[in-house]
Amino acid sequence: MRSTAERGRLELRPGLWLDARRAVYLETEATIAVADPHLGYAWAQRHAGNLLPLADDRELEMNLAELLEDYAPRQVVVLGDFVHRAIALDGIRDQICRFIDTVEMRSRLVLLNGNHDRGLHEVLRQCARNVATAREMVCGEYTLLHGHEDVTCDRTVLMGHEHPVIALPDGTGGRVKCPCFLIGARTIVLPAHSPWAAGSDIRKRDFLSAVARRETFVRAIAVLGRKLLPVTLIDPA
Amino acid sequence: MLHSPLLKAVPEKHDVFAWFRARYGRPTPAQKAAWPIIRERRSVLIASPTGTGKTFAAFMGVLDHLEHLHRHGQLLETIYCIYVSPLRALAYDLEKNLAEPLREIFGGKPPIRVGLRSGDTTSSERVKQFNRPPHILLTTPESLCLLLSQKRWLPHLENVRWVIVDEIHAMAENKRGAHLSLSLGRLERLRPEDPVNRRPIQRIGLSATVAPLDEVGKFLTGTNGECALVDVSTGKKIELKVHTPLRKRPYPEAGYTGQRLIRELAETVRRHRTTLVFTNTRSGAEATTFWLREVAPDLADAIECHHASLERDVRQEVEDRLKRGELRAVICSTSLELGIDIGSVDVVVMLSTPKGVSRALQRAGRSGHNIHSVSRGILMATNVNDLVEACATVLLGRRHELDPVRLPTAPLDVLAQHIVSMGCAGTWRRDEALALVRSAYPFAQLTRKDFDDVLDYLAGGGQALRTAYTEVFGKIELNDETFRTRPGRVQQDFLQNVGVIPSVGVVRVRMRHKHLGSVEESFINRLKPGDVFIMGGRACRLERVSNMEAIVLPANGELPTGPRWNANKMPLSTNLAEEIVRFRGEVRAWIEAGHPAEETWVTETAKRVATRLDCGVANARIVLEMFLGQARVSEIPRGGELLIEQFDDAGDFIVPKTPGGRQRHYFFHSVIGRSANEALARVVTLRLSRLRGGNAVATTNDYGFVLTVAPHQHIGAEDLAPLLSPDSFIADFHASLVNSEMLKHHFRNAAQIGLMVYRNYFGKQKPTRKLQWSAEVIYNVLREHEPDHVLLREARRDCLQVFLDAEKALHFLNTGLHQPKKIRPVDRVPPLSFALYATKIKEALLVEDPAETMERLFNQWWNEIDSGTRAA
Repeated sequence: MRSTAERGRLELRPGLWLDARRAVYLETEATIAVADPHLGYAWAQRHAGNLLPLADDRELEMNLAELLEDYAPRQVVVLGDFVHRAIALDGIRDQICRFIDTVEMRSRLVLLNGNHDRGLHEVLRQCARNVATAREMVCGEYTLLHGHEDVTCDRTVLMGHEHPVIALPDGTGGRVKCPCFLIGARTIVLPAHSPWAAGSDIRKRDFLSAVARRETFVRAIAVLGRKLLPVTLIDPA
Repeated sequence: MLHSPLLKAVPEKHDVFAWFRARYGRPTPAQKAAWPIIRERRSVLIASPTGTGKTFAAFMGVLDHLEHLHRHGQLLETIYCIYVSPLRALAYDLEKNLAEPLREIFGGKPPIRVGLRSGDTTSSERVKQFNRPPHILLTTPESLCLLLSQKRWLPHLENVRWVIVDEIHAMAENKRGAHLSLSLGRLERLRPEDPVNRRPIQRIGLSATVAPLDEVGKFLTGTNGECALVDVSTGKKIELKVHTPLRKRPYPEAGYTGQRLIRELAETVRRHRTTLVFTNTRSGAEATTFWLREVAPDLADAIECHHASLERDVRQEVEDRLKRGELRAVICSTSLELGIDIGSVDVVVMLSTPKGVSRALQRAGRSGHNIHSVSRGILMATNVNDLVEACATVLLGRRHELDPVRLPTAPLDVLAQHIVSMGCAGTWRRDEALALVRSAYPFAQLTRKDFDDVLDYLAGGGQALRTAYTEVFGKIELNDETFRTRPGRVQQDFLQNVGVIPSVGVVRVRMRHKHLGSVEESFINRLKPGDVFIMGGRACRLERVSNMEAIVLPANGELPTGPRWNANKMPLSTNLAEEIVRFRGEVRAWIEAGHPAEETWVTETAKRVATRLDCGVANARIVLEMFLGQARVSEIPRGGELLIEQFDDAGDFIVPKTPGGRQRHYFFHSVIGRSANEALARVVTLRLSRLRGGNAVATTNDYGFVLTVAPHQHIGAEDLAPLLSPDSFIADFHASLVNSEMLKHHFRNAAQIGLMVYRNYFGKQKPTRKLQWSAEVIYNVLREHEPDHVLLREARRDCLQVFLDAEKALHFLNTGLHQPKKIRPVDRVPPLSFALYATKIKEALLVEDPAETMERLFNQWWNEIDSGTRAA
């Protein structure tokens, strides 16, 4: 196993790279997968009355531009929850357009349906952007999907939906919550790509999806800033 | 003429003051002093203990004037007087207390009407109040702000002549006070412009023991007003004394003394008719109630618990029974500190010290509730440090040296809320609004930039953002000149979210069909089904938790198993800290000049200590022995120098053993109170990590802090200057806060008060789990992308001024800059450092009961000290 975890990359299985920028790269298919960007989160919150700051999207876009630069992928697949809420707001449309344009300038974008994406088609139409969408897709030996619907399949599943985080000791007596990848025998859960994502500690195991509840996760790969830190959840012995 | 029908229509004269004389006889000193000032229509702050007729000191002039208006047929259907109290219960009490004189003066149906408005007022009552406003409105700061936020209510508030603020000392120090001060300024501005008759609203503040009085006076009247001061706070006789269950050679933390404490408390309860006990924390109140009932089962039914987390009707019942004299003891956290009438309590017991002189006097004043009776307060000291502290409290209390209150300076979250509230009532010119805000004393120093930044935040972001998008969902509509609150839903939502009391996640506790009260969500999360905890002084077994409700069953006869709940500890006041440092210095001088090995000297010196502390000789002996032990193992820290003890811990009883062997502890004897020590310790640990790498850990208390380090972090005398330098202290302090839970916690409050995240949405309380992590995520995003956001600034200010007293810590470093500092190696933990050590070590103890281990260790060390001296 080639590992450059220090540099923010880790080859989990041959050809399957985890990246600290909260993405997975499938080498053979030249595909980048990210999950749960929840675009327009702050706007949706504002729409609901909470005056959240709007300064969050820059990081997301820079992240994306960097990933495209580094891997030059053939396609970028979003594993669902592309938007937080599909509301026809200038601010949300703006973010959607910028995301799509950033990807499509160098690659091709595929959006898989997530539970937050209801009404997305209408907003995409308003944005005058034509993007491929699907419920799930097969990519080499993997099936990519969001995870809110129960499925059974023979391939290893790459999914989102859970926003997994793990609480690690911060060295001064406190704990710090980090987003993480969750690794099971047949399922790999991606951390949320959104900087707004928060979730409950994976060790509590209160997973949302049936797919995750069935799986036994043996490892978590925590994202600490730009580094990856493998954490063993269940000893192989 | 005499029989003219016109004259007959004029109501007859009811002399309000004559009624008072007939009913009460002579006025109390407070009343005598306040009445003429109030008659002259000057604002006044009246400081006087409870039970000295403050209410009538304030209200007689008001009633007299209203009667006069009534007699001349000039009494309008409008609000003349607003009474604001921090507690709803106080307003309820007052409603009853005013009804009686009004009935007696006017008989039947009094023409002067009193109305009560709080969060509990039903909507039909509100409509009635609006249609026919009362002459005297009793309310809370939050409800007052709500009225000011409703345009239609403003005409009713234009004629207000008096505002009476009760228990002002309880509000001046915090954000509620800052919030109220803005409401008062806004009321003032509502008065119609009438160059002839226009006089400012007369503001009357009622306060218990408070200092400095003029500062609170300015808080009351704002920067444009003058405030007369009436201080009769020394008028009432308050007797304070110290009691301790400690015997010879006490372990300086709670242990077996705990049992003795409860037994002696039970004796006190038996000796008195009604005893009121203060514990500082809710968990303390619960535990004490539980154990007191255990040791005095015959009195169990007459012993009750009272704190803010109990269900309102449960609390109400306790208060009523207390008033009726049915209870022998009530154990409260701090909830009965303020002035609701609690009947005749004959003694107040303070378990663990009240941490300040003002608080001690306030609490003691809750007994002997009338001007002629003496208030009695007993300070129970459960460890030697407490004993010294309690004695110092009593001494300063007798000299009436009160702790100065500190007003928060310009809290921006409170400002944000008021700006939205102001904008609900109309369009404001920016300059005009800024001038109004600055007229409130806590906001007198508000900068133009801070004000503009708050406006920009509320408008949804800076100008650039607002031009780029048609809709940014700001709370206000802002341009270069004016602002107003967006009409419609923003205003409706705002009305649900007025107030500065942060909502902590609470879970209601239900036993069968009865709600007992609520506990913090974080507390419940640490319990598992089957665990036993105490609520309302009764053991409850947790069955399950669902839908923000904890279902419990009675667990009679069982001992609590679960953890204790949050203790919000108050820091030692500056006055007290200084007195303790002085005392330590004196004892040190006595010991150095004397013959500590001779029994006669010890006996004589114990008497001297007893005189100095004004305590019994037995207590003095305990104190002296602790200091003798300290002098033998180390030295007694004194003012004018900083003592740092260095102790290498074998850590034999800690499992697993610390990798790499011994830990080294440095005990810093900085007697500046817990919150200042916490700030100091944060900076020292940060600087040590920079100097040596790795993480150092500190544990703090009121008397100092202990720094625990790894071998590569050992410090020498040459490191003290950089570690304790006042240079860039505040910058380092901010750096130390960046990742702290505390800042996150304060940000959560600021985000709620500053309306970034609603607490109540569509009239429903949001599930707090969601609220909490969303605030945490917002905090992370802001820290990264907008570190200068007004609400982050506010969270930092709050930390700095209130919970971590960095200013005091910096002052300590500045005064100590050229004073000697020394590191003194010790071979065991000296008595004055033991409490810190125990707190530090307990977290790591896994082998046996921590309390037992600590007591065993302490006694072992003491025996060694004793035998050591004998050998010498």
